[in-house]
Amino acid sequence: MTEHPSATLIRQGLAALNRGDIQALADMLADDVEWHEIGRAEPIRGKAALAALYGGAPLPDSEITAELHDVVANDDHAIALVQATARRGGETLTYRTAEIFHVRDGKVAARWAFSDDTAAINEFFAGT
Amino acid sequence: MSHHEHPNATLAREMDAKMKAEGPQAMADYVADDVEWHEIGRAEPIRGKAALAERWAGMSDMGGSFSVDLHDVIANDDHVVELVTATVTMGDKTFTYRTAEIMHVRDGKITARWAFSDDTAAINEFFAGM
Repeated sequence: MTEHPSATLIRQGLAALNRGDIQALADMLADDVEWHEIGRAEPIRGKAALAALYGGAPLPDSEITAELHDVVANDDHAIALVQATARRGGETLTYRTAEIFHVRDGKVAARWAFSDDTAAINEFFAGT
Repeated sequence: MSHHEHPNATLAREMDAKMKAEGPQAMADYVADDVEWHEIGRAEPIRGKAALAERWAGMSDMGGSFSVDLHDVIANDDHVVELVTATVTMGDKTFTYRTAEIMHVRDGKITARWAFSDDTAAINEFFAGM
């Protein structure tokens, strides 16, 4: 069974994240993307708002690398199973997420992140 | 572009329909004897179908009931992911939460399951002591 094109898009996005290619990441987002984050009640709305928040880095004062365990996709959802390692100051947190995406016309239109311990993630990223 | 659903996704939909019709014990037909069942808030998985059946019976004995809305199910040869909105009622308390149910399937049976959510602290608080 061939891989769904949305799965391929997400694989390319994770690869861009890991090589620090912010432009490639931006190119895969729809202009009106809704970006839901663990610990935020409201999503970040729009590519411009996402870029303004994070500037040239995925997170200010932080470094994140993501190891893609697997990705599954159909016409409605793409889900990446990810093990991420975040470094901030002298601290390191390794955590697992299911990155859930809506893909429309080859662009990410919405994203949610689920994990098995969101409290640990919220604690690590508090104040960012 | 339309892709045919993976057989493991079809299996998960069948399981969901059967559980809705017959109750949570119907899951036993879809679980491997040596299943590893990981739950939010538990450091160690529940190991084995018999232990899992005890877990479900215990929840039922405490007056708990679940309803599950299957939003979507996506699968490949290695993983099945169900996107679920669950509502649990325990006595006079009701709690609704969303999970990604991540499963390994081997020979038509679930061999491992993990649950991820967007607010596991709220889930742990509701299920504390259960």
